[in-house]
Amino acid sequence: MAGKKASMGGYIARRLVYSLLIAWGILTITFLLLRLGPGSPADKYLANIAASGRVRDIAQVQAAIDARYGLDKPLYLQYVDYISNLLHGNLGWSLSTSLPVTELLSKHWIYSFELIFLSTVFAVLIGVSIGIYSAVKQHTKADYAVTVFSFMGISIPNFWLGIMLILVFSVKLGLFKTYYDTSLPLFSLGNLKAMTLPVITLGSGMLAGYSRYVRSATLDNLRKDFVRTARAKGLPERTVILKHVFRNAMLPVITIIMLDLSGVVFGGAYLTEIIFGIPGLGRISFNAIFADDYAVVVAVTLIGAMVTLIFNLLTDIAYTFLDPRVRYV
Amino acid sequence: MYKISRNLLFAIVISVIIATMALDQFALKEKLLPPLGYFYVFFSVFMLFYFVYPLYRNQRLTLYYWERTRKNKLAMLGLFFIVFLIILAIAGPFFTADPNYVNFEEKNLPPLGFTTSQSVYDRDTGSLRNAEIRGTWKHPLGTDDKGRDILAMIVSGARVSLQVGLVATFIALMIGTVIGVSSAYFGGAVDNVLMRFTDIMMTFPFFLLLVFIVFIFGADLTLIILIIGVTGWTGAARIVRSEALSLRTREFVLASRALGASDTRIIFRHLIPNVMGTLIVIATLSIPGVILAEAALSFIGLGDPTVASWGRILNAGQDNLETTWWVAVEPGIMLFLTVLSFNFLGDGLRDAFDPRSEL
Amino acid sequence: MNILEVAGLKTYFFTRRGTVLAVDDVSFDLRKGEVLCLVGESGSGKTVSALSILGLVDSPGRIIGGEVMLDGEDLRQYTPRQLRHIRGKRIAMIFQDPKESLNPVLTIGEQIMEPMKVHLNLSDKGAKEKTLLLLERVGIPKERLFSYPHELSGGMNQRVMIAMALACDPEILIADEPTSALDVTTQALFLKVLMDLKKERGMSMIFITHDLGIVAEIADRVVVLYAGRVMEKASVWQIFENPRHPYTIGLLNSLPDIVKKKKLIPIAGQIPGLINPPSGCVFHTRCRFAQDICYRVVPPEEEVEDGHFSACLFRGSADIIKASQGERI
Repeated sequence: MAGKKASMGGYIARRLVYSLLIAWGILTITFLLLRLGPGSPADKYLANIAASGRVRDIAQVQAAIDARYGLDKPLYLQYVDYISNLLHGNLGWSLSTSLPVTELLSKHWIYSFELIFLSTVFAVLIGVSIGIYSAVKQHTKADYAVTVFSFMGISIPNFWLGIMLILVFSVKLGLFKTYYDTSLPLFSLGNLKAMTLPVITLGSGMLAGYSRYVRSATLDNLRKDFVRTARAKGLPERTVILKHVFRNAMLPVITIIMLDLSGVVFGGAYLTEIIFGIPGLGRISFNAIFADDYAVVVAVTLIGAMVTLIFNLLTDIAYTFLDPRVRYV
Repeated sequence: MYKISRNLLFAIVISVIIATMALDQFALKEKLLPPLGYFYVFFSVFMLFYFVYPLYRNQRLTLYYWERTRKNKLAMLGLFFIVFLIILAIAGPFFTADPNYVNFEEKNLPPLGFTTSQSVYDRDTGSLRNAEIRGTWKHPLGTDDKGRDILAMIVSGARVSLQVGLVATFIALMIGTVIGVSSAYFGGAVDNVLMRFTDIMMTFPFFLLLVFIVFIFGADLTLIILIIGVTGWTGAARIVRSEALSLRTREFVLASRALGASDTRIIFRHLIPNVMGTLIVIATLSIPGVILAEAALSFIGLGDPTVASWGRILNAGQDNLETTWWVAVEPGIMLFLTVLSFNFLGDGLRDAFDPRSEL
Repeated sequence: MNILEVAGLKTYFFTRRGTVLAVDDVSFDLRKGEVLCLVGESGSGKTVSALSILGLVDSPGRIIGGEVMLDGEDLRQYTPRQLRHIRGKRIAMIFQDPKESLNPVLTIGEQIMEPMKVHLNLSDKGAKEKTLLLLERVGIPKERLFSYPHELSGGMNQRVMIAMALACDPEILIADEPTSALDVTTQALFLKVLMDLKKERGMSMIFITHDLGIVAEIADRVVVLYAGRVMEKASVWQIFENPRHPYTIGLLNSLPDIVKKKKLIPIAGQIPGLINPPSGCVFHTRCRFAQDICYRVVPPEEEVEDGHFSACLFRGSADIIKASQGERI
């Protein structure tokens, strides 16, 4: 046991170093993309100033801005600045809101978190249960219904689903407000009610995906010999499914759910926030795009990547506890 | 021997195309084709050489997979809709009105069979009055708030969606295959570098990265297609790599290596053809994601403003849900059906190619 | 005295291609304290027969006829719940591939204790004590209690399976080719442990194998199965000394004989498909003694000598007697 723990510590340390490498890669790619792009972050700002006619010497302003943001330095020094700024937690200044980006993010992240958290809980609870149910009832009508519905859930564009929900439940039936009321405290009853449609919008696609993964993982494991052993021991079917099959089936599903998080959920949350006017990170990034507020767009992209990175790391570590077969390489 | 001559022939044809394109772009005043047009030529030639021809040559295998796919009713339904969509995208624009033709006389017309009550300007009295407005045969799917025909917009949107779906997926798969196969085949440092790069790209949330890049580089359809292709290859690279890795140790590859076959020969003769089935499945299952990504970009206003994409119509429709609900409903249904069809077909193909995997 | 009587058992698999007659009218008895070997090639219905006893046949398979009498009670009339209390408690079973038959994410301790908790309502402490005793008895060090299956060798895992099967002191143990995944030296050790325990506890045992060497070593009586039907039933002496079915004779002739260096005579042909089994005697397609009548008549099992049954129409014919005596020993 001692040997196992020691090697596990080493494994976690290696994963941490590896994550740092990936984080560096993310920052570098973001930097390169920013510098490769046509135009600099200051261009639009300058154009606006020029249009306003308040400033005579645009070149002077440009020089001042370049100096202020270090844009006059050689590229590699700009790169060093960029990285060191980020390491100091300095994400820049949002031009459109006149706030430091960090302050903007700290004000708004909670809305995104609430949306994603509630949707994940909703999707995992329902998705996992119907996934197991439909696997156990394979080839019955219920199973086919689940299969078809999960196909539809995966295929329905979630931004369209959101609009349709608004059309039916808010516009036609008047059950929900058509705007998001920020005055309600988060997780309060009124707030949760307002979150109903957004959570369905974001959660239904996730739910459909999870139920499919869980179904197929459960089916895979139901065919395994150890299930027969468990039945031959005289265990109740509940125990066979929920203890023996479920534990094995969840292992691959956890990985896929994590992959989904960055692949599907973040994008979905971005769109859901825009449709329902939830002032989360997606919404502020969306506003920033049309205000040409580079710092905010960059920051939200980086946050998304970093959160993904952290979750991947946590999954890897969780795996060492969940799956005894993981080799610490 | 046929393989070598086919590759040679392909190289010649491609050089001719590239030469024509270079001449066209730099020397001729009147452009023959836009850059995307050349891409389609290249795409078709490639498919002809490496997809249609092998399918034709291995008729028995093709028939075998076809028979297996055909048993899946949902997959056939999907295929049927996709064929319909392709015909619609190619031939449709010749029969429908100009999707950009604005006519305020006919604005906010509901679809055929629906009526709405709207306030309209009465020319005789010069004031607004309420009137029942009926859908007409002229605009079977209705019109938007500028009087544009939605059917025409949807048909033109089908063209955009298919273009994006097919071309971007093709680019992504090419990149993914090259990276995956080289990673698996060369191993060691090459594998390490390529896979770490893949990991980095995978850590970016796909849609956020897309928004970020489009925001920086601008929204032009060709560019968007390229961006989706260049960012969307990671999954394919991973799958191709693991597939190729497992093939690498299989007997027939070992045998041909024992017989002194070269690396390139093993890659082109054994690895690529054997991951072909996987690639077809990945392609079919990637297309819906790509189509959705473009639609979502257009929906948030980051799409090419010059083309009538489904996402753009949806965006416009979202603002007037109270009055003209159909503008938001109709393109969404098309989008939904398209994605559903590709998912059905992809699922059927996967079962046909690999009955073991369920995911 | 018979502890278990299987009579007229029919287990069919209803597949898309047609109905597979995996077990078709199979009858045999298990006497108290004896070892009964079910012998046959793969696909002969040995495993399905054993699974049918415990009602463990998976869909699309179904038991469609026959009786399974345990101490005078028909298990086929039992409700699933009642049957569950038989499994692991009165009749236990161990399987072919120990690595696949144990749950990879549970420690072997947990898996051995499971049936005790379910059937005997033992506390954690009581179950643990009993498990340690069992582990010691099958020759596995105590500290292995917390090991996972992948950390043990195949032979050890198979002994874990025995410990698990014996957890509730069953009266009958069904062993389904428990040695075929083990190498020869491990096999010998495993068989010794198994037979010692069987004697110690006075268990009855059904042992499924295709290895006639093992049959000679451990069996009291033998049932020879072919294509889902019983060919011959007899004591182990009668089977080896005086086989009265062409199939059994063929099996024995295909055994290498180191002492006499006799020529190996394999049975010609292959086991037939069981969707449309051959008419009449299922073995006629490969039988060198087959006559016209064998194509038409399903041979009944009849007694050739005391306790020796053969399902061959020519069981008494001179040719077969000559073959059974002349070519063997």
